[in-house]
Amino acid sequence: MAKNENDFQERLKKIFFEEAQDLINVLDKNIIVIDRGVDQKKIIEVVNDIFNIVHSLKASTGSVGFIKLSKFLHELESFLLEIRKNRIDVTDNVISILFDSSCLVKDGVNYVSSSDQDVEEFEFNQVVLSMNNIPKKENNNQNTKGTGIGTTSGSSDCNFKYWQIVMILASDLLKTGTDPIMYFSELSEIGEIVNVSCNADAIPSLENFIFDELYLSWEIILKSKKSMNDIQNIFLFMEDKSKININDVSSRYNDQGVEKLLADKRLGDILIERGKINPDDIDQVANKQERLGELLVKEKVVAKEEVTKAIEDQAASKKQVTTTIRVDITKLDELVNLIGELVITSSQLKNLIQKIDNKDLRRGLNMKCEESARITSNLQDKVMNSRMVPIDTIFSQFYRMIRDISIKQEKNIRLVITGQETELDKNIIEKINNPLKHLVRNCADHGIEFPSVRESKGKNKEALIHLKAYHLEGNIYIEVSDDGKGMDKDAILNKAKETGAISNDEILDDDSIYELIFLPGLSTAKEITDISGRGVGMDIVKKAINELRGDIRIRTEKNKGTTFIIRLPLTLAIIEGLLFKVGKQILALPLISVDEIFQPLKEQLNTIEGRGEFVSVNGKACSIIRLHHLLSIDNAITDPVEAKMLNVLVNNKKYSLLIDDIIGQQQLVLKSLEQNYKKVDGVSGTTILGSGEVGLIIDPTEIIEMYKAKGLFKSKLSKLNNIENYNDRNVNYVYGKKAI
Amino acid sequence: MSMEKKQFENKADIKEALMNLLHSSTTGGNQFVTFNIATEEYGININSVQEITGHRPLTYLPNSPKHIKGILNLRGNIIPVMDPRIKFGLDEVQYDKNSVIIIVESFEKNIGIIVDNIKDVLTIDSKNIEDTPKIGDTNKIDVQFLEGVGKVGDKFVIILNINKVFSKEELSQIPMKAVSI
Repeated sequence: MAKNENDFQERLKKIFFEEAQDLINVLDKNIIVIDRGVDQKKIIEVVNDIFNIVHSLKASTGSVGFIKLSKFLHELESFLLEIRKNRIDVTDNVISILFDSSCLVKDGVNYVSSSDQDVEEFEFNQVVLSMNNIPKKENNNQNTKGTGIGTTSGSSDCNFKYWQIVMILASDLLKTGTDPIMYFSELSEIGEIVNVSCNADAIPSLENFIFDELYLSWEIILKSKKSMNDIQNIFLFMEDKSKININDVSSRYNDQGVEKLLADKRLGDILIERGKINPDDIDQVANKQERLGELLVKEKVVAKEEVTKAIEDQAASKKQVTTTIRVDITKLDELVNLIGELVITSSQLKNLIQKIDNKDLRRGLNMKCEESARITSNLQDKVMNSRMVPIDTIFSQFYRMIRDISIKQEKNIRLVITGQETELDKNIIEKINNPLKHLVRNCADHGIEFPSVRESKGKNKEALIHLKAYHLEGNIYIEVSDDGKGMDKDAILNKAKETGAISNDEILDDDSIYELIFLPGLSTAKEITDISGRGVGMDIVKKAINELRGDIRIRTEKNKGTTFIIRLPLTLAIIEGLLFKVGKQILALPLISVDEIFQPLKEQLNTIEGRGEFVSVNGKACSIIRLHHLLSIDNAITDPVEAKMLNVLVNNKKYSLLIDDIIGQQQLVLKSLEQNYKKVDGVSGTTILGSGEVGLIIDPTEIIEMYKAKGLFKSKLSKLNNIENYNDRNVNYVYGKKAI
Repeated sequence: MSMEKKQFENKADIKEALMNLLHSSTTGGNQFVTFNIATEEYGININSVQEITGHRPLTYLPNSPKHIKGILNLRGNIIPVMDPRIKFGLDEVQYDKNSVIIIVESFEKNIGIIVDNIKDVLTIDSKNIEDTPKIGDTNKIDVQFLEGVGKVGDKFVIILNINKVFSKEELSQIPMKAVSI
């Protein structure tokens, strides 16, 4: 039993974490709106939104047992309430507090999600203190009684209830000398009468009117702490002919005593409900009334087409309110899996169909097969699409970052974001976040000059950082650009020569020089940071992007600014691959890492004692890597002249892989090897080939590392023993020498 | 038939019948899929068997231990396949049409085991399983992989403990560096 309760608590927490994450994202966005300095009226709206988010967060954190976090949220809620009540002006200071507290809430939720422990109270003290230090105006216009808004049936205001009292008194009441007004005064003694509506439908025509009869009935809304019994007691001495109905309608009213539903109701419905008119009247009048659009057309204010279009747009935007559900991403992965199987099975089916003798049947089946293939590929697209999320989720965090850096460094930076609706695979979004943060921070930190410097250069004092995302040719591009000082080509070049990254006499084109900042040795050096204005860890940024099978380029101009262009694949689940053969094995490489393929000539081959085999490509020597050796594949072609060379670029160096033959380019659905086994050196994953068999996807970086490790081992061993044929590998090296 | 017609004369009888029922349902859990490797008959608890599939061409996996014969595609999942003959130190044989791959679950991963042929699904009462197996002369297999020896009628079934056949390290160790930002 205890276990069940635990399970329940765990599930509750899981739901909470997911929800909290969404709420925090919305929270951030709202606070950004405030910062952009919209007018006061709009701010109140936004504060309302923020208030609602904080309120639901407070409730849910409390319910999963993170009391301290919940307590802080309560403080924040009260603070927001003061803003709502217009007792606190939204100054920069207040916005800062809101920013800080939303950050704290975010950190807090992240902390509790990861550690499953409540936060420490002291972390909040600072912010709570500054909240309390904000001076509060006295404001008498507002009803300050209620504290918890939106919680009518909830905790803080629970003593009050809203009662609907429908009072239909006996028609001869007046004859007994009772004045109905008495009931009203008695009711107002036990509570506040929020609303009274009188129904006068029963009043007859004048000739039938009896002056001492009561024709009126009333509906009273009473806000009171008293119970139903207390209210009934007022009507205790009423005659049986009178009818009194009392209902608890608290849920219909908010704390200001305004009927919630009223806001959404149409005027006609409210009037009908209050008995002022009947539905037929409305219909009659409504038929007389002309539509706004028609009126406008009639008055020749706008063209008819414009109105029609506006109405269509309106309808479309109403439709856009979609419902969503949460789905575990592994379920989607399974779907992708199954669809992949479907594709393979149908291609096998197609092969089988060719064996059918009956021509008509064969043709019919072929057609159906193609149809189903089309449906399958549609299905695949849809499932892939469902894993996509807009990049906005990570872009929006930069408003805050830029704001913080601007304040801290006394710079004047404006962040412009475009294309935030561009969708990316969820996994990529998660992994690109850190590199992107790094780039944006670098731009603001190092790229952008101080306002005074900018002025002296004749630039706008306000610097601009532009984040841009867009689709192009089946890839996603993210650009981070600034209008800062740009990179200093000579400084980079000098530094690179100094550190020995390039030789002194090497001549590089501009692009290659800027590429140098991605080298590990260069970017970690402190001096280059000062000179070039680019920070530490660009090599890590590049590495992370490469791991996502993307790449990064730089465009920079001195004193004009720098742009980093990141190219990313749409999804991680499918890659463009190059299939090739080594022995009987079918292997694949990500197409992005393939540089060129060629058949070497005898003259191009060369062997250097102790350093291995080389092939000269455009005058440069590339190490030959015998894949069949590294992967111990039998029956492969060993003579480079008969085999093919596949050049790959790893860390800006070219290596030639020795392979048997190229099969072709193909889209590969990635399958994890680790799911049921473990990581294998040199293999980044697997894919399922058209035949249903498994193909291995080679990781070029790892292959190079393996090659280097083996080479080291070999040279050491041959030095020790001074023999060449210590294993079958060396036989081939000997053969390689003969070939020259 | 006579069993079914038997009337329960008193509460004690009913209780006994219930106990029997309970007992049989618990012993039902001790079902074993049995198969042959070389001359011996082996068994694996049916709970760890995911499915059984015929032998088919495998994709060779480089830089792996010798007993990992390769990987196969099972409805979109990549499954490593192991030859217990190599692991147990027996002679390798050519696979034929009787060769079968049993997919088992171990440490939350699915692994295939190639066996000579599949035999039966047997219910072995736990009291008929001896903890400390008496290894006969013909049996060369290492005792460490065994759960015990079950007695069915007058024959013996060597019961394998899947989680001992595969070590956790074997299925999850990370050989090369893992660089991430």
